[in-house]
Amino acid sequence: MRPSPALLLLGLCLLSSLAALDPPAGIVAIPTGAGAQQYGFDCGGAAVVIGPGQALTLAEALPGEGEDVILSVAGREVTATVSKRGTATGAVLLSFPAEAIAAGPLVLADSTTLRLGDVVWSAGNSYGVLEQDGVVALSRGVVSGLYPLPADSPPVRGRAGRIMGTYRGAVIETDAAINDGNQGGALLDDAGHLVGLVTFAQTRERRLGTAIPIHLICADLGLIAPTLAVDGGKGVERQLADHAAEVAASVVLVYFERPSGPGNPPSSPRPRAITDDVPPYQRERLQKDWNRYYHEQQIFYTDQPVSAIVVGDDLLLTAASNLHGDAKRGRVLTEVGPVDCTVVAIHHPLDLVLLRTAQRLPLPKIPWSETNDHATGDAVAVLGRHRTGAGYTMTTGVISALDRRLSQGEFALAQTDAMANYGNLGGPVIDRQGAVIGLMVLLGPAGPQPWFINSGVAPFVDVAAIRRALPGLSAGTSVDQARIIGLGISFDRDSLRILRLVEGAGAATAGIQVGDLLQAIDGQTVRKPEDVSRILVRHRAGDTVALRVARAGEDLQINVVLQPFGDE
Amino acid sequence: MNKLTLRLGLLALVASGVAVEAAVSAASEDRQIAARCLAAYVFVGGGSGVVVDPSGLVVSNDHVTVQENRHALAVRFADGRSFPAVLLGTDPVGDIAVLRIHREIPGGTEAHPGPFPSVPLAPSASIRPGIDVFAVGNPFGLGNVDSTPTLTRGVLSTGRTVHDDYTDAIQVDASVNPGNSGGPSFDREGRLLGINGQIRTTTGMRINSGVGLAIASPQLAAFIPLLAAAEGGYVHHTRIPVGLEIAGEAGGVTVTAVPADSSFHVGDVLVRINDRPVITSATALGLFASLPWTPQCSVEVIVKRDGVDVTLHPLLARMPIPGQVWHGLTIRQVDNGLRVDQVDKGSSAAEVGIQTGDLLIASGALRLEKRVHFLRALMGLEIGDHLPLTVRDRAGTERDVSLLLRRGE
Repeated sequence: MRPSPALLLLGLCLLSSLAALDPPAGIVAIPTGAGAQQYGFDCGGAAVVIGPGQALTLAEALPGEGEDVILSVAGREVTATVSKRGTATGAVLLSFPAEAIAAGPLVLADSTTLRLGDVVWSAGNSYGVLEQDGVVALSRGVVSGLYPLPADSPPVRGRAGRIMGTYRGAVIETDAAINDGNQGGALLDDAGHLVGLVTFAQTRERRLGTAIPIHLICADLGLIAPTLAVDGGKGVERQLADHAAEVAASVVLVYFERPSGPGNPPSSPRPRAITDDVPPYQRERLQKDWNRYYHEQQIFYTDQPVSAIVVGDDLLLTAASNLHGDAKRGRVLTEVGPVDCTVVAIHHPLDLVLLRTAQRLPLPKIPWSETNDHATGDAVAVLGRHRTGAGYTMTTGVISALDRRLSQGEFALAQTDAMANYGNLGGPVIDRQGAVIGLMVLLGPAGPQPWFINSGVAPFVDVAAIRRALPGLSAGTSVDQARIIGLGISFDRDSLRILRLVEGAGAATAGIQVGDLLQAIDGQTVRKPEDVSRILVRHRAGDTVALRVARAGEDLQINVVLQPFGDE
Repeated sequence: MNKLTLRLGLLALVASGVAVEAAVSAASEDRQIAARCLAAYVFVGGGSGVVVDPSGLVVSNDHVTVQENRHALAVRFADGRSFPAVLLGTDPVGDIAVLRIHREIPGGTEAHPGPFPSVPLAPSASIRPGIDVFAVGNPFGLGNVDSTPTLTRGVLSTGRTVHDDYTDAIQVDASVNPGNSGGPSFDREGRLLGINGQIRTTTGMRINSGVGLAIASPQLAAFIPLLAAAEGGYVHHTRIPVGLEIAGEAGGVTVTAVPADSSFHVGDVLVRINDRPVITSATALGLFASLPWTPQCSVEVIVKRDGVDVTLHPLLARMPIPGQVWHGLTIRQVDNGLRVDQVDKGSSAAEVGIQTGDLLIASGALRLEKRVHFLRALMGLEIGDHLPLTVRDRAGTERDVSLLLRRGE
């Protein structure tokens, strides 16, 4: 039965209304001693009102060891006292006169029913906004991982080396924004029910934040465990999550040993800070040094297993950047033990490497998307495997850009805003039908900026490009460099006067001559080399472009066919 | 009543069908929103902007346009079309700049007649925390060559708040990075919620943290008309009335000192300013500073006095624009007055046609005979003010000009 348009409209309203969440009133700030003047750095955390005169927070959100805690409620101060401290989770039960805070309380949901991909919201005092403006900061995301935080996780430190969170145990990982001010604050389900308290035990910025499940906190504090089932939302995230489990079966962890051996090599020296006294002409160079430094820090010094996808009985595909430069072999970490794999061929421009395993892996092949008709704005999920091997992770977002070309090269990348961390490189991107539409790769140091984890700017190779690249890679043919799509000319950068023609190429055969002044392409005036690139980059090999050149005081209109060049 | 029950029953019958249809429609709806948002987006230098009127009015950040050559601004759409643009006005405190798209004509440019794809401003009532947000920008300069902007999605983290100089800010969790500056945050209807301008981070690395700050549409709506009419100059922010002092106390933000003939009383507790609630003294100072300044402008303030709400309309002071005043003239004292030795390229002095060798005769009623007279004429003037000058050129012709005092560049 087809619904009538009126009902369809209603359905749409219901669906879109799922996205919004009214900010819960029962979340209050715990100002630091420094107060809101410290705004933006080590600002105070938050507490969550769970009953009349009762609130929950974490020890890491308290400014000191004392038993009195000041709460800030819409600009007012309320003094609470610590009535109980949990030993396993660091949770703290605060009590205060019930009439002092009318807002709230929040309803607790049973966090044992949380599933990967459930919609969750972080709600807290990020950068002091609850202290200063009396409003809760919300961020929407999904449960991106459910795993135990390893006991050997390095501590996260704040100002003056203070350790921000010592909790080690089961956590809810989320791609909702978590920043300074969220500590001790709420993680809510899509109905606004409390499912966890945010901890900085793993990170204090949006490098995939974590929360301690509320059922563990209740057990730790001797509170009655909630029984209300979690509302994980019914939107696109649920569709993506339902498919993710199936696709994740084709994602494996591979450990590549570095040529220098296991372990992180010593860090390269930090470049000089770009301060006001650095002269402008040195800044660009220094910025590049910093880009390289961060790039090394984030990629090559991360001695972790990475994601790869199964593309054949004994074939895996992953990002070539995962090879740490020039690793030739790796180990696939399977349930039955490690399996060796070797590099078959590398496609450097697309950052892909095909690997052959020493034995067939009893794993399903990745379900490629049959089409490539995706559009900017489409919902996607990025899958990875947690470094501990404890299940997979899923972050969600949209396609941010398609056909991304940083130069006139023949290859393009796509881009998503889903959070992508170290282990996501080489992992799949899926659409809401559960089809794999791409593979996460690295925008390397050759790009205008290094790749930053969880920046919301993450490139991937789309399925069409992978399909084109796979036959060559399977045949053992590597691609070292992208060819440039161009006119077959070189010109003076200031005057755009043509200095040289590639013999037999488009411009020369069309009648362009050395000495001609390039004036316009496709009707658009060109003044700088960037203007030329910006027009040509929108074309493909074989396209014809209309050039206007000046020769001996005369304007000439000449059509030139673009073609690929090995180097230009 | 019965009808309603019947409808609900029908709805339940077709609910599953509706859900599937709705999901598909929502997907194509997302594409449509994305396409609409991307069409009105423009690249401005290394940053971003958005067209807010079909005639080609572009909004961006002051800090984006100030990094570009003011006389060679250009905007580029996602379809690759590029146009010269002229800075109509800028607000260095609140970080808003307004540009007009031009087109080339022999010997210069003229206002382009348009029409261009544009987006409306979101009304203040639609700014609700938790709603979906789409941000468009040029993070890390990725679109510099291919003119392809980046679309990111998130939610509005807060309603309107005060964040230092962003006195009417919204917080978004859609990923924003360097290069998003000046670019738009849209709601699901494709309306402009705000102009992205800041990222909050702990590490100092200017990378998405999920806390992006945008200048909210109500402030844009208040400033855009004045900026569009600023003739290349500045629009100031307001600030707390001169002599009024406030402090955060147990009972709320309280007036502690008042100027003579003020409508405020010591002990008044500030409740609302410009229809926004006062939470802390920092918020109050921000709210006093959230309006465009015009002579004799006032704001509605609700105070609690002896337990009763009292509405006041105090006059607001003008917020100075920080920075060094730049008039662009190098002068030397000669026998018959002050001689112009040099005129900085691109300065206001050059724009009004002052040339090397001209003599400065007077500034209003003040005769300029010595250097100290010139300094006296400048005294008390700030960035954005005008310096009146009577200038005599080499041919002996005298004329009056008005020199806009710009920010030092």
